[in-house]
Amino acid sequence: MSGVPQSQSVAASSRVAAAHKSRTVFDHVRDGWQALRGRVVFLFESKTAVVGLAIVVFWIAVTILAPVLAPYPPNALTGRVSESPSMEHLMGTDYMGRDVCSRLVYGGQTILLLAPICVVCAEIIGATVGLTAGFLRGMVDEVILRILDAIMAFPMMLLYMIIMAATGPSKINIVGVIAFSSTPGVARLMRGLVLEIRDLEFVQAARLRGESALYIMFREILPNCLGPLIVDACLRVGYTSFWIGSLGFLGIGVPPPDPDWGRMVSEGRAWILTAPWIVVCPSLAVSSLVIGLNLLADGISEASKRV
Amino acid sequence: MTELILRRLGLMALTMIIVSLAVFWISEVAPTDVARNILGQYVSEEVVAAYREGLGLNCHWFVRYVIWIIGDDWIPPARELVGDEVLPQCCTPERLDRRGLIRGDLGTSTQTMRPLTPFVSRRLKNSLILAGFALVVIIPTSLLIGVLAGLREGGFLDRFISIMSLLTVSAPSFAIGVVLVVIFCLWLGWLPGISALETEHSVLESPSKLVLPVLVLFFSEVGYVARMTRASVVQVMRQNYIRTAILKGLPRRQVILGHALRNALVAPITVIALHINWLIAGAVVAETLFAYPGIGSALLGAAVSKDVSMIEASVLLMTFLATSTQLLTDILYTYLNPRIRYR
Repeated sequence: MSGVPQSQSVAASSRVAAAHKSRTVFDHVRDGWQALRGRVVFLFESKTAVVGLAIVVFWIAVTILAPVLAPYPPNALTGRVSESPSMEHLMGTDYMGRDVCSRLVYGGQTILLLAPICVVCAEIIGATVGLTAGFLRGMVDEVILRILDAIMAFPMMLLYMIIMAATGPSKINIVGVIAFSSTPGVARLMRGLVLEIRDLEFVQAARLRGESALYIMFREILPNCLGPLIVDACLRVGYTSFWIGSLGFLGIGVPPPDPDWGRMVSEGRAWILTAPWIVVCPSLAVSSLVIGLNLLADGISEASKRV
Repeated sequence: MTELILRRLGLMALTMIIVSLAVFWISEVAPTDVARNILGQYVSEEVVAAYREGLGLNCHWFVRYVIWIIGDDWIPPARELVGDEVLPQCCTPERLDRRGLIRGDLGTSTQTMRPLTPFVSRRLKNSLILAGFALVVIIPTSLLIGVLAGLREGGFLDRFISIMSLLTVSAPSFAIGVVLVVIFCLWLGWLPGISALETEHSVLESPSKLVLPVLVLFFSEVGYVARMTRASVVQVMRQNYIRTAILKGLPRRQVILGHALRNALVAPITVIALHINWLIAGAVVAETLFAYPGIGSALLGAAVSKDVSMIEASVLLMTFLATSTQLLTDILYTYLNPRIRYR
């Protein structure tokens, strides 16, 4: 990712001039593949990013392939109660006789499904709000800033408790609350970036050309902010997984019977003396996922600084 | 400076009003039937209607909100003076003895029917003790670790501290707590695994019960603060005035203690206090894990058992603590950073 902001319209017009012959689907696919390869190669320049990416890809693959990988169904009683790890049950069985490894593999689905959704919502809404505030300035900026401050002042855990008490725990509540609480952080980040970019010459040129505010915001400024936004998104997915795990541990996350790593830790606590693997395996799973995401975010920001 | 403080106090009051409205609205207005929520599905309509009368839920929500804030013990004398039109009998509960939030009465629990103020103040005291000890341990240690890492940038200590910070930041607090319980209670047997207390006893009488919750809070915060401190120290050591001080011939110790640290420590100290929201959530997990009788676990219990007044009271109290801490931090930061003071 180049550190120098580029005008998208200049780049686009040069591409149009160069490619006079009609472009087939093949050309588009090849362009996309080149861009992807460029990004991936860029990522590989940082060792931290590679390790982080490996961990994240591992967990995504495990979750998607859960029905294939899990040796037993997650809620079936397949072994003796609290059996230690053996060849039949790679991570032992829990206090009811369910296979821990299968529950681990299926349990990742909750976190890995909900966390990206929360973050994507937060990023989209937050980026829009930040763009508006940073670009329009004046009264709009002041009002939006005050509202964001008020939202940030309110601890998210408390907001979730109130909503949960009123309407019960559910996936939609979790996604809504986490997205709502993460939006101010993204919006402030975006606003800071926009404030830096809006005074550059290509933005002024676009304004002189008579482009509408929407065009300038979304086609000129936004593409240059994508780098820090992606790093922020990676970090946020990590924090969100952390939160969803903690909410599951407190018993107010996704309702049963879906296996959930946090709730596995909470339920297995009573057997920590005799069967510690029930508790240790989900804890290590959550920790490794968040570590992987943090490493990935660190690596991306490291690699983009080196370019 | 006074103008700044007054303005921030005004903003804080505004925030608290908005937050109290939001809390009240979500807990009592948005759900279609609060009484049905509390009593459950299997109760007949007459019981629900009687419960609504008893709680005074038939008033308009704004009237109920104002009564929550200023209380309703002024209503009987007002009725004697003005007559029954002040607030009709059907709308207010039978016993009019609430003094309102402003005068320090947090209401009555809808689950236990007992006054909330003594219960909440006891739990709050415990939580403040826990938070106090935690901050006393976190702040010096993490600042020290961050400074040591930043001064020897790129060295072995720096890398080690960076890796440990990453690990502790990424591991969720319940995972850390579980690992600590396994190590210190089961293998070594040094510390008690449960921090529950008798109702009237203070936690300070059995300090060993405090150690593990404080350690959990410590590990969840130290990584973040140490990283911020390290970044701040690294940035300060690259400044020109540090180079000047060294070239002037000042001993390294004086350069660090007299010039570098004063500038480097401003940012982490404010970051610590701004992180208070995170600390509140971490405290809820730590208190639940060890059955520590603090306000966090009380709030969790209230949320699960739908104790509406307890939820409202404790959420408002905790938000008040969070916003006032942020206000104090802003004032501290303005005091420490002269460039902002004269804006």
